[in-house]
Amino acid sequence: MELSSRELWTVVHGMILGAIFLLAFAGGVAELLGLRSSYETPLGELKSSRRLVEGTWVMAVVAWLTVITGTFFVYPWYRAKPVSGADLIHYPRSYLLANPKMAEWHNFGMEWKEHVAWLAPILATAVAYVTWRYRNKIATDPVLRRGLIALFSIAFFAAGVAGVFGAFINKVAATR
Amino acid sequence: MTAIPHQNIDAGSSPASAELKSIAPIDTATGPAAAALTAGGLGCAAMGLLTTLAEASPAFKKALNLYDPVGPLSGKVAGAIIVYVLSWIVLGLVLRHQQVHLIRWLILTFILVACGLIFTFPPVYDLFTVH
Repeated sequence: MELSSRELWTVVHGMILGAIFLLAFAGGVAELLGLRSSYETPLGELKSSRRLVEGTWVMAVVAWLTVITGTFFVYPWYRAKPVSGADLIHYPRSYLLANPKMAEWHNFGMEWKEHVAWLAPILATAVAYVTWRYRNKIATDPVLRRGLIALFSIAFFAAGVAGVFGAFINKVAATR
Repeated sequence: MTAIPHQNIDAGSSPASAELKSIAPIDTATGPAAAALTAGGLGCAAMGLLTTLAEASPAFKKALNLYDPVGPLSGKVAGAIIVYVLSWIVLGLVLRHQQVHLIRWLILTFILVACGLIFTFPPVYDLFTVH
């Protein structure tokens, strides 16, 4: 039961932080969908809005941690240039590009993932701030609530693209 | 300012009513919401713009390489975050006490986010790649 430091950071980035992000999204969107004054008592609204504020801030903080660890810890190992004569299996980007059947994992998958992932923390932070500041208004303002749900879902989509391609690429060319 | 959205609350002495009394008043100025959401859209659009510009100009791509282990992605990320934070500060100050049509600002935000999504999509920015 051993993990190298690179494997450990990959697990922290993709499995631990990524999983918390996805769980926080599920809870947050459920609260946003249900937070309507016609659905809940005033006390229920209060409790729901508190859970919502906590959930969205967790999602925002975790999203930042995920992209920071991915970009500045894991990605440099992925894109490291191999020294002459090195076994390319230890250099995921070069390994993928050297195999025509696998090159698209980098050219499409990794290229999309590394850029679109950064949309998630930006949008999650905007949603978390508005949720906190307008926590007593969301239940009675359908425009605000729907807008937040849509932006929250786009943040989830961006993180989902990054997560899915991250998992596949690490399967095809693992960062070890 | 309205204290809470429901006017028929029994403000008795139960723990539940004590909790209800702790509800903060509703923030009626919609400007800060518009500022935060639009700044998020601008941050996303900046990421898309920087990604596509880097493909269109090798010199610009080289200039974005702020941290060698990460490459040009470091400059794209730094640029997008700077745009996000600065635009939030500026819009936040301008709109802080204003009552705005939130739907208009939301539409602007979605357009900006769509730009971010479109211009970070490899088949799109590859159209601008200089070989």
